[in-house]
Amino acid sequence: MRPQRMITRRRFWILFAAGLGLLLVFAALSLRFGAVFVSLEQLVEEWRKGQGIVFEYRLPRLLIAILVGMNMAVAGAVIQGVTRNPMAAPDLIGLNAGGGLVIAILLLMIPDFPAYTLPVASFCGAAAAGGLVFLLAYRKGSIAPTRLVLSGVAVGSGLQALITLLLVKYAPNAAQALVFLKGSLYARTWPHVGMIAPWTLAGIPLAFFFSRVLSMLQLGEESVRGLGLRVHLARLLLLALVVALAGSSVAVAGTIGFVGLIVPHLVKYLIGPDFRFVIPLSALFGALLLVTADMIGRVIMPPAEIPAGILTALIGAPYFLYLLILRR
Amino acid sequence: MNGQRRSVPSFLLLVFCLFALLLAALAVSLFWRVKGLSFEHWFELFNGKTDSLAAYTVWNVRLPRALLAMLLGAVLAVAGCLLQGMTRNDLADPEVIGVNQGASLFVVLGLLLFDTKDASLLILPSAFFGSFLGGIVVYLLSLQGRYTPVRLVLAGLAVSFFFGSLTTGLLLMHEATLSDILYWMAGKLSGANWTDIQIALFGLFPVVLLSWLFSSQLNVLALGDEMAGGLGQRVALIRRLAMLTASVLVGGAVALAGPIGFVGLMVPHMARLMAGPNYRLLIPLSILLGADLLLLSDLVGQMLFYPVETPVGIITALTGTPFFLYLMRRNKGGSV
Repeated sequence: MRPQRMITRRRFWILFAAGLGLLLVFAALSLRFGAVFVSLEQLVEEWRKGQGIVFEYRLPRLLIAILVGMNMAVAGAVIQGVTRNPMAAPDLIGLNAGGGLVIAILLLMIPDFPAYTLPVASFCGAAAAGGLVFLLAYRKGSIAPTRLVLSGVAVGSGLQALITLLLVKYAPNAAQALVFLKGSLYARTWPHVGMIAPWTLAGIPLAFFFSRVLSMLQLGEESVRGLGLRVHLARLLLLALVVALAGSSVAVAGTIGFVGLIVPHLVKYLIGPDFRFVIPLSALFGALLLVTADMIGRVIMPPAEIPAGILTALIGAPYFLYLLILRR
Repeated sequence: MNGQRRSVPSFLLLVFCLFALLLAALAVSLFWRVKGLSFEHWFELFNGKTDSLAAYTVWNVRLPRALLAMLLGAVLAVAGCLLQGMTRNDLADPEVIGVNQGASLFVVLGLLLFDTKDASLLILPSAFFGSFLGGIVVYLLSLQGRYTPVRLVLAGLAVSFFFGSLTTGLLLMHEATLSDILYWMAGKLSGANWTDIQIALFGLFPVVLLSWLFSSQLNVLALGDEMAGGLGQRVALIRRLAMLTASVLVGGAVALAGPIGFVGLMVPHMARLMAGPNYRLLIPLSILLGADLLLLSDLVGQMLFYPVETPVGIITALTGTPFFLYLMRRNKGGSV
């Protein structure tokens, strides 16, 4: 037992260091590359003056990519732990559709709606959808994992139909809404950073704090209750945490799919099921994935951009299919 | 629960009622709000004078549309029956499982790659190809015994999400064609013409009738793979054939009217409530019910925001999701 734990711990630190190193490298690259070439001297110059392209556009965007990646990945890890279903993810249980619907309504029906309130509205939408899903899944004092997932699917596809209805009805102006719905970090600036940062800073330590509870929940209903844990309360709290984390990232970045699904998978594959290791590594690799996806999306065919959400889906879905079909 | 045998007369009564409903819906959809149609020259419609605007609207706009709705409703319902029977999964549906999105992706891809004037020629093969691709994924998943309904739904969802992201990505890069394709993707029947009817009637409807031949095999398969194998059924072969048939049906329907979801989910369940789990009765009943459902949904779609049309796929999705939730909650044990 003891040596195994030592190995896991050492492995954790190696992975952590490697992830952090890669994240720094990609962060630096992502500051450097983009539609406008910025030389190194310019970068240093801008850094001293505190203004310029990099400081005003690329840096906040990078920070948002990091924060959203962390949020989505940790939300995914938590919801997979709570539902004990390796295929659950925040984007599969209707949160994104809820936020998206509110955005579609505001962007399409009220054209001169002040743009800076969109994140707040979208957060409310995501939270409402999450609440509806829990309500539908709630029965006899408990939320069964399978019911949660299925009601999420149903609510998600219903809301998606409403979004499509709006898009079709207001088709000529639909492109802007479509970009947002597909998850993009385009034109996100410092105020957006301020909107998501508190949620990340509060939510991820909280998730880490609950990691022991999450590990216990894996044991199954009866044994957990035998250990004296109040299962329903723990589940409810953790799900609220998922809504907060995922809702805030939908609010600033739209629907960025598959990060919450594949990152926890990958991390569990690398380090094993202990949530004390899974949560921090998920945060790190989620940030790494999104920073990379955003950078590739910007670099591939400038000045046009491929939304980061599409790239994460392109990277994520084949991996997911591989998990589904080939393994075991 | 609902497995008791219904007597033959009551089944016939049911069929009769559904048929009457179908005729009523057909009448409404033919004559509702036709410009220049009034009781005085009502009979002009039927005495061969087709040069008036009203007659043209009724016979060449409304009638093909209603017929297409009925045919595709039947097609999708039977495809749902086959998918549910084959995967032994209550929640299987072309929309839930990723076949529709596969078809959408390839249609969009085709439209963007080959810039043709005559889109319908292109849509047909690409929709077929896409729905086959989606179908293959489902087939691979259903092969593995550990796929419970929940996991199959989640897997299908991820597959659809993947195809959906690709489609949106392609659309975003070509904004000019955006609104047309978006409208097609929501599932619509408005452009129906007689060629569509011919394709549906001679290409797809025979397949619908053919799939009735599967019914006894599906009944056996419902007992479980091992039991079915023990009874001498070639399980893998039956699955493959059923999947092939369902893909042809869904691909055809998508090609003609865009992806229309949840008809295949709802109809087999309604039919099961009415006639029990025997596929021999289930499939004919699904044909009728599907025709009813899609025709009514299309009517609702036309009436909802008159004169703006709502694509029928949205109506079926909006009615389908509560139904899905109901199915989920009905299962008391939480095993589904």
